Amino acid sequence: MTPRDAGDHASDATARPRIGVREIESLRAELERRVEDMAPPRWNADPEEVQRSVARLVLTLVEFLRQLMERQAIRRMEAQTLTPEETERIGLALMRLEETIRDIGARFGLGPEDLNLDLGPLGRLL
Amino acid sequence: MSAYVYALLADPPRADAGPGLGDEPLRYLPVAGLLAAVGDMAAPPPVSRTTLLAHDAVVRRLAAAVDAILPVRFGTLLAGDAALADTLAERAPRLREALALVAGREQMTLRVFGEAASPPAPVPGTSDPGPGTRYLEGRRQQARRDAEVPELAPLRPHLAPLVRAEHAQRHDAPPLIASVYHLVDRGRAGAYLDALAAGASALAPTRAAATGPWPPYAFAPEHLG
Amino acid sequence: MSPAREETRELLQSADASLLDVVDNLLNKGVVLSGDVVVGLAGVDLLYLRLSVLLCAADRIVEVRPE
Repeated sequence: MTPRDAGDHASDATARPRIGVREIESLRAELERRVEDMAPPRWNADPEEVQRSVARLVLTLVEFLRQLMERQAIRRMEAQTLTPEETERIGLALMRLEETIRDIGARFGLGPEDLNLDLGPLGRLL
Repeated sequence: MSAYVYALLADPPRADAGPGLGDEPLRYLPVAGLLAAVGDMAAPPPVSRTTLLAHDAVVRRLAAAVDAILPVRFGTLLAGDAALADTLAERAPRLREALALVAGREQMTLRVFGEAASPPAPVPGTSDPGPGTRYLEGRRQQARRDAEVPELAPLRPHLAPLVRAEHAQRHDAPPLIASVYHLVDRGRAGAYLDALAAGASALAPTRAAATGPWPPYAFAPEHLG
Repeated sequence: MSPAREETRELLQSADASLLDVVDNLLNKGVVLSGDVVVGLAGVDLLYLRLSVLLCAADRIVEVRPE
């Protein structure tokens, strides 16, 4: 089982897409963003920054819950087990929850990219 | 000494898979109806080109000697066999399901490049939807797009006969639109690349490039959702 | 930044196309067996959260129940 690229294969050269530097660089950038920390998930409140650390943990957990609830609401919407009134109510609530998380985060200088504490096995639920 | 885990297997390897990435002998720990391929190490290996390629080589040798393998993430060092047994026992049913899915199969990685399709206009319902409903509908469509990579649609008929399972991940890194991981029967990588070439003009201007075959790294249960 | 993360950064910066795929598979995919969350204060580990119990509860929440 040795890996081959599309380039290795004997097929019509004109049909083979040319993958350039720009493409490879975008993949590199994406991997840099995504590769997780190797150590086990750890939350350690820095004494100088306790407020911000606590806010970060709390908002990460709430954001996680928001995503779980959004997923469940979408599932039920698709399964049509929500009335139009319920759909409207849940939609508004989720929308406001998203705004609130963003607003509270902003007060601590936390953007959506900061609410990414590794939640270990909990994170894998999503 | 701690337990460095390379992969999970359904059955013992048919042939000797050689040593681990630190030249340590491999052993196979039975837990909850599956086998963990393990090497004993004092400390986790550093991340380097050499160690990554060596780890992948061990996984490939194991894959060649079994039907079903679930590669474990690089750098997974557990305190000992008891910790490993604990953590595996809880997850055994899903892991066994995943092993059944990947049996006799390997992974092709497809990177999709081009311009992301703009979100479709929201479909109005029979009555004028309120803001909450529009929001939820928008989130629903976004979730659909993330999972399905609509930009790949022209290529799918070409690939469909070969693809046994798919895991797609959307990116926001132009020109990279998405990474799509396909599970194909072992030995079908050539046919997959042929199908990709055959579908390339239909797919244009979107472009897709495939690498593989790989052991099924992307088909661990946590990545399938 | 932990040493492993620093090493990964450096590796990614110099990686050629094929190594990028290896990095994706080995560091971004694969079965994840890391332990549960460790919670500490001022650099001292205080709590080891066994999240498996919470995991089961949340699993039941996301299960779609027939009405």
